[in-house]
Amino acid sequence: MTNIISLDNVSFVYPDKRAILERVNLVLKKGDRAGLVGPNGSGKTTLFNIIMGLSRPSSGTIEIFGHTMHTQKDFIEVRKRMGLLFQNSNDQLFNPTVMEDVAFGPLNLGMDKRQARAVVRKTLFDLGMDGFEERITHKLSHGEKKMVAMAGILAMDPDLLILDEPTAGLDAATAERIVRILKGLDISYIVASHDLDFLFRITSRIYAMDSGRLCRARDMTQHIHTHIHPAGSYPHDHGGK
Amino acid sequence: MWDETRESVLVHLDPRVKILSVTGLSIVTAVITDMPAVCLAFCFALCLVLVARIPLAGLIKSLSGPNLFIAMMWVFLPFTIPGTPIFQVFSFEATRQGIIFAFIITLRCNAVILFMMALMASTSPSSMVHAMNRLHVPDKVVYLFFFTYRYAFEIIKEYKRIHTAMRVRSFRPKTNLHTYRSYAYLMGMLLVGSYERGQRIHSAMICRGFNGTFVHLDNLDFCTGDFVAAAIILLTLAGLVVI
Repeated sequence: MTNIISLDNVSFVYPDKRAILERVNLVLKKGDRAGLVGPNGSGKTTLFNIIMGLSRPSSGTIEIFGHTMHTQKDFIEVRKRMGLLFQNSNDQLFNPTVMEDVAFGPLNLGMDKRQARAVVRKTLFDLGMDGFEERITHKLSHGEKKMVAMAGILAMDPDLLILDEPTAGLDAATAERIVRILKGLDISYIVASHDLDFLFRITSRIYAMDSGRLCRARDMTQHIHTHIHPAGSYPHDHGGK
Repeated sequence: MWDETRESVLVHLDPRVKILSVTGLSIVTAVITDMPAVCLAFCFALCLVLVARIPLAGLIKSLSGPNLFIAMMWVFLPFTIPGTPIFQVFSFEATRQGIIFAFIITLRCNAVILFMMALMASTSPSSMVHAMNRLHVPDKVVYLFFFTYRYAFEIIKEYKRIHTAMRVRSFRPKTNLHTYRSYAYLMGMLLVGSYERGQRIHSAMICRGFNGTFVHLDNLDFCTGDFVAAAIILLTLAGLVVI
């Protein structure tokens, strides 16, 4: 299968000589759904920033969609096919209304205004957010912001999603919505999260970051366990099933 | 911004007309000195406010702050401008010219504020940005306005969060070095936080294909109403200048 991302011995060192990533190797193929776990400060966000070309690695080779990345110009092209969901949605939503924010990416891709509006409406509808078009972004709840941020990257129809802690701080119902959305997508993604249950449900492989190294990659194995139901005794449904 | 559901013709005016009108009206009002012209400007501002259907409570609230400063001016101006004495407070004489001057300043300030409220507050920030772009305002100014509007609320929230965190740790502001230092740290944190957020926002924009130019969803086209409004405002401006 085609490699979407291939990192070869990628290292990242801060100017104060603190190493965040040390000789990281990662290969993501078309259709891969990978998870990334690791303690705070272990370099998950830095790794994503390097993949998106937002940070420059100290050494190593980055290959995305079969092209070796040398300059920012190379990244500008591949970014059109990748979507990064930021940990904090406030960093992503900067337009006054949801319609304008979700349309930002499609317009940058060169869509005309009518087309962009249609894409926004469809994306919001697919995410169960129809009716949110004229809502003011800074007045949305944390969960709504996350969903709109998600709509903003899905509206660009990417081949790869990079999600940085998409369920952090979300209630069980919104997290469940994200699980359903990701399971329903037919694209590759890599997701960083501290929530192992969440990762087990949406990924087929999990990587772990430790002391700057991507130290293991294990395939999913099915096992049975018991846990406290996240909804407890509150009335809830399971997506209409 | 006012609730745009309160239907007003001003909401539907082309934002370019509004920006140019506010600029023209504010500049002319700020420089006129004759009482009849100032009264005309103030009356026109009141008419615009009525047409804009601005809620009275919001109007009073918005005017109260600036008028507090204007009230302070009333304490000094009547007594410091030489002229015909009208009344005396202790050994200070208030003059007719001083009172007229204070009155003119009051009307001028309020007229400018009312112009802004009626015309600018009925325009969404994104429409303003679009209009500023079409009026060839420099990109940096436009983006500065746009991001200031969007993130001012976030910075205020951040300030409140940090201030609450200080209070729950028993911080009580006093006139001492500890208080000054704590507030300096608070401001420093806001500054550093805003800078870092700015970088993250820029990264997020780059990830979504931003190449330095905003593409807008709205189409701005002049219609008959815009020409009528522009004509009325031009006539008023001419009237103010002639008087």
